[in-house]
Amino acid sequence: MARAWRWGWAMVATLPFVALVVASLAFRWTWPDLLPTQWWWEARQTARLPIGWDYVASTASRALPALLTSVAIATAVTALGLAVAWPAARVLAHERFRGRQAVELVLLAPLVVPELAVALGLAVSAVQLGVAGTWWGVVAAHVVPTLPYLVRTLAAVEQGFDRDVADAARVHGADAWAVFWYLRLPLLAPGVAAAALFAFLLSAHLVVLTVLVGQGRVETTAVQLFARLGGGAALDPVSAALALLLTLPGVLLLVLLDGVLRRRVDLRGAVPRT
Amino acid sequence: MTRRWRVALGLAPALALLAAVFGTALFGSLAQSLGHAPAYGVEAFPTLRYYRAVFTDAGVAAAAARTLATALPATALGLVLGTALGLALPARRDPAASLVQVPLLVPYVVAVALATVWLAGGGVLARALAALGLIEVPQDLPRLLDGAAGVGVLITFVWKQAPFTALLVAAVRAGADPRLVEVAHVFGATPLQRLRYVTLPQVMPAVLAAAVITLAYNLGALEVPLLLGGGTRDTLAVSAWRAYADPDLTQRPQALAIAWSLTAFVVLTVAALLAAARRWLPGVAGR
Repeated sequence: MARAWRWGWAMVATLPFVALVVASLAFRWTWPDLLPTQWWWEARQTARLPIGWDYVASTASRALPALLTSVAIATAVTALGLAVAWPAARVLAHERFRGRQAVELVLLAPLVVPELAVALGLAVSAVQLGVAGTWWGVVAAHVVPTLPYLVRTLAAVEQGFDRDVADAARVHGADAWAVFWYLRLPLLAPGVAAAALFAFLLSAHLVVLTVLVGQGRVETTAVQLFARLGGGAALDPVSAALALLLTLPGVLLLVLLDGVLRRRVDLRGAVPRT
Repeated sequence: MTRRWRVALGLAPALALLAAVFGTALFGSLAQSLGHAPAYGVEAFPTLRYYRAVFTDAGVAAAAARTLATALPATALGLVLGTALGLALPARRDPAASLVQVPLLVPYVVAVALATVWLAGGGVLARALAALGLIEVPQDLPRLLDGAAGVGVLITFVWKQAPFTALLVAAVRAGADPRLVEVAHVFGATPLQRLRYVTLPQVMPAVLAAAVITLAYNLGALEVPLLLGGGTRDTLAVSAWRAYADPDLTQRPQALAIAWSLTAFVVLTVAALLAAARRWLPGVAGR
């Protein structure tokens, strides 16, 4: 029974995407047909305008530049986030000090402040500071929701590192570099990599902050899809294609986590904000 | 390097960056919501007029009610289904457990696209029902997306969040002492009693953590109620968004006052949830 229940959920989690694939390939899909009567590749000779995946691949849609923008911004956010969150996580995992609770509260505060409230506040300040509509403004904005996840996951990763091992190495003459290269890095790498991948995914998925700080000039794939949705109408092939494009990084992450990083990874940092 | 310096240097970059960006957002928007917005021709600092509007405007009160009516059922259903799913996930490697994670790894806008392709009038669900002969025209299916019941918003939140709760529950259960259940079994506890008095208390910290995170998200969420609500699910977040997008720029301080009220609303609701947990679930919430 438990088996049927979890396989039922596995189907609910994945099968809906089949309809997205069909919708992205449809050209004529009228009521009440379960499958399209004319597919995208059958219509590409006769259609006046680029359609479906043709449109996504054409320069007019700016879909590929947007994908590159998403990747570039998410990479920058991940690098910046790791650079500041890792030292903090290391301190939180291993040191006892006064004011610890206050520090944790500040570092986790963005979790309970709605993204919209942060984005509205930043939209105005970004104009005054001259970073509105720039990549750097968007990268700085993305750090706000990313940092709490990074600090939390990295602190859990650091807690798993036995400091006695490092002390033992030092007793036997290892210098700081050797401890880092031969102990910390190999032992922590899987957890840090997982944290970095989640930060990347989180940034690539952010819509409201990107729209309001980027002011429409920084266009990511998530923003493009957001701009096309709504209105209660059926899903058009281009939106379906963009949605599939936006599903890709998460699926790649799942494959990576399931294969290379399996068992060393703590998913507790993956909060449904992504 | 002394310990004190190690602590300070380790924490400084993260705190400084967060203070710069997050602090700017908070104080900038707070000043604006109090009437300091020369860029939009509003220079009335300090004034409480925008907050007064929030608390006296019937539309905002209705939006607050809609926010709760949207967030609470979705959070509760996601927690119940997610806990049940989490208890069904095995500790060993399992393909179903991997597939279940997919909703966690796609953004909410993709969940909205999925809800649209399945649930819209004339969507895949309606076509499937028509193929089975259960309905004749798309209108025979109740409006799931932009109907006042907000079924589409509810389904989207639950689809995205139940797997999250499940993973937290499964992780805590994998770390819990399995001998307790065996002891209860030896002493003659029925399966239902073992669930009620042993397993559920063991995973309760995970359920509470999931409750805090999903409730805070659902109260402040913009994309899902905005895109799937069809104007009938205008929560506080959607109201703030609409006020900000208003062509009349003098409405923007109003948007920020709503956003600040929403933030206070979220913080208070989460605090109430934690206080209730401390009262009714001693030993769980203290962590």
